[in-house]
This record gives sequence, structure tokens and C-alpha cells, in this order.
Amino acid sequence: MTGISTDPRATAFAAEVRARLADLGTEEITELTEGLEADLAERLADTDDLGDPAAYAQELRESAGLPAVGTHVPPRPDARERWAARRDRAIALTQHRRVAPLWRFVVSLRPVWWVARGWALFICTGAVGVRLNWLLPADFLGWLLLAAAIVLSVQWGRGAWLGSTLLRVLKVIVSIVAVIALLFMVPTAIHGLSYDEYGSQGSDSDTWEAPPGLTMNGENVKNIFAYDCAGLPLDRVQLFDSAGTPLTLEPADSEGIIRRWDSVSDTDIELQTRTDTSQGPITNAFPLEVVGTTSGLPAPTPTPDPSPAPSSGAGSAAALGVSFPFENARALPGCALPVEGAPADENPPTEDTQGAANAPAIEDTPGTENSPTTDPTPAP
Amino acid sequence: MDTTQLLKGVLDIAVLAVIRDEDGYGYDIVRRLRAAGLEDVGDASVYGTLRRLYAAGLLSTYVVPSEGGPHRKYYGINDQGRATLEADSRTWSAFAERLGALINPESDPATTPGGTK
Repeated sequence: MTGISTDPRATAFAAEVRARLADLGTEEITELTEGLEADLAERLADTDDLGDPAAYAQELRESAGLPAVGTHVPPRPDARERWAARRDRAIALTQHRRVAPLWRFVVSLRPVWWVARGWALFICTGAVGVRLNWLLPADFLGWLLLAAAIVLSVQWGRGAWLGSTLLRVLKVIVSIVAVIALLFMVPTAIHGLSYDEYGSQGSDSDTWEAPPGLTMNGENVKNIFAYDCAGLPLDRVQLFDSAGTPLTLEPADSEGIIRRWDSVSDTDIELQTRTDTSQGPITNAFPLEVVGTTSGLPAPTPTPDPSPAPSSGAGSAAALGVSFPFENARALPGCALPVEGAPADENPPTEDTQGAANAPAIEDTPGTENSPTTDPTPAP
Repeated sequence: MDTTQLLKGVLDIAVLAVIRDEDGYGYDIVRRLRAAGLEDVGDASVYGTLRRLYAAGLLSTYVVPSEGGPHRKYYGINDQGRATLEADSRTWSAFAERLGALINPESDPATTPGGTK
């Protein structure tokens, strides 16, 4: 770095020029000023004066067809113009012959938007301290706040209460937040309405789904107990629905075991179905025999008695091997069957079934659970 | 009359013309232009013009290192540059002819309306 070509004035001048081109990017600066020091040094040898680096840089830009500093730095007018042009196109579209009626209709819906924005404003701000009942206020104070929010939003929509720039900015922010909030609020509200039609409070409607199998009021049915019209427990009652489909608690496993979850004790109750060797488990004959419970994880315990219990099928709940909820149900009026107790003492006229009559009768003729005439085997 | 304004319009053609026969580096080209009578041409204008002509694909460029100092960037005209120079020369000649006729109507009134070929 010696000799005429490294005159410090040339180096300094070149550095100044480059600094004034800094907005152009490294590549463009290199293209513009490569060899500049050598040129400047040679000029210094000629004239001993380099002039003003700012003017030099400006001249360089201009002649190279590059934007001047002043006009290059803010490209915002361009962006703003483009935005304005886009807006003009949009406005022109709304005035198109076909679109205009639809647009006018949409415009007439603006008050709906104002109210919705107020509602969203209330939810977003008031929800912190106000009790809510399904996106609506739960108390008087809440309704007051909601009303205030809607009034504010409607006033904004009408162009009022926008005195300062701060308020106008606030309106824009609130509008954007409201649009986002409504994206969540509207589906929630609609969902809540449709849920309420079923008469439920819908507190946890999002996660609620019916448990599998036979249910009553949303709860697992864990067994079914039948009593005849005299109030005596029945064994091996077969149930069907109106379409003739067997009523089952839920499908049995390969061993004929049905597991039902008991929400009260948080255990799986294992129920043994009767098994027909040719057709597999008969799952619609009730009551099912409880063969075990597994709390927590349903580890399938080996069933102690996989074969159908050849219960005597007597009218006694205890004798059936299944714990009925109660010994006897109430007797129905007009029942032709002998009620338990005194009049039933071995007095039924048809004596062809002694004691264990129930079981064979049902096994032989499935579907005829109404074998009342041969049923009277009351137990003391 | 301020010739810098005039120069702006014709600097391209002038730069192309002075490197038509021989490549040159920045200040060398400035010197040639001044030697040709364009005294007012600014250094930076020439360098910017060179950059623009190069970007337009009319010039080729190469860097020659110099011992003991910064390297020099040489510019040379390419085929496209020559074609442009030729076309621009014709345009300029026609323009200058018409303007001359306008300024001095008695010199050759017949050529005034559209120029004769």
C-alpha cells in the first residue's frame, strides 16, 4: 500500500462515498466503487481536488440509474399507493352491478357486527372478574358491563366517541381482537344452544359421550333383574328390543365374560354370560352372574366358573346364585300368579314342574320368557 | 447553456464511443471524454454510466491488479454494446441534423420536415 495510488485522501474519500451508498447493499456498492481508489488517486494527481463525497455519491447513483438516497429510503409511498389502489379496486368491486345489492345488504348488517363486537369486548375484558353463564353475564353487574360494552361498540360504529387518535387506534385493536374472539365464541355459543335443547346444562358437553353398551340416563347398566307379576325374581329372562335385537349390556369376550365399569366403585365388574356351545355366548339372558371385580386395571382374572351355572332357577333370589337387589318386588294388581307366602304353599294346579322348573323351560324354548303358568314356585 | 444537462442525454453514447476501439478503466475513460472535448463531464457520472451500461449487458468488465496499489477495473464494449452504439449513433445523427436545421433554417430548408436519406 504505497505510492501514488494509495493516497490517503483517495482512500478516505472512497470510504465516504461508500458510506453514502450503504443502503444499496454490498454487491451493488462493490460494482459501483470497485477500482474507485485507483481512479481517485489518478484524478488527485491531475487536479489535486476531489470535491464533495456526498455530491459525488449522488452523481454516481443518478448516472447509474439508482434511486437517490432521499427517494430510495422510504418506499412507503409506494406501499401506501399500492394499498390505496387495492382499496379502490375493492370499492369499485362493491359498486359492480351484480355485487352492489349484496354489498348493500352486507352493509345493512353492520349493527349486528357492532353488537357482536361489544359482546366480544365484554367477554375479553369483563370475563376476568365477572361470573359468566355460558358466555352471558350471570349477574346484574355483568349485564351492566355487557350493555356498556355494546353501547361503546355501537357508538364507535356510528363514528362517535372517536375524538382522539388513541381512541381510533383502540377501536382498530378492539375490532381485530373481537374478530378473533368471535371465531371462538360463536361456535361455542351455537354448540351451547343446541346442547341446551336437550335439557342439559351442558357443563362439560365438549367431552361428553355416551358410554358403550346399554345405558340408562347416561350411566352404565351393569345388570338386569326381572321379577314376575307376583314380585318373585326371575332367572334367565331373555330380552329383546322392538326390532328383535337381543338386548345386551355390551359384547362379551371369547370366554363369555362381559366387563362393565362401575363408576361408583371405580371397578370393572365381570359378568358371566350363559354359553351355547353352538352359538357362543348368550348375552341377553338376565340376570348375569357376577364372577369377579377388578379394580383399576381390568386384569382378566381367570373365571372361577366358566361353565354356565346350572342354577336351580328357583324363585328365590338367593337360590338363583345371583344377588338380586331385593328379595321380592311388589306384586302387580290383577296378577294371576300366586303371591309369595300363604296362598302359594305348593298349591299351584299344574304340578308338572317341581322346583327347578324355570331353568329347563327357558333353556328349551328361548324367547318365551312368559312361562308364568308353570312358574309358581314360591319360596318361603 | 449548461452542457451538463446535454451531457446527461448523450453520456451513454459518448462512453460507448470512447471505448469502441480500446478497453479502458474508469479514470482513463474520463480522460478520453475530456480529451474529446467534453470538459464538463463528471467522474462520478462516467463511473455510474459505466455501471449502468454494464448492468444493461452492453459492456464486459475485468479487474487488473496493480502492484503496490489498488486494482483497476477495466471496461470493454461487447457485441450488444456495439449494436446499441450503432443504433444510438444513427438516432443522434438524425436528431442533431434536425436540430441544426431548426436552429439554422437557411442552411438547408429542404431537409427540415423529416430529414432525407
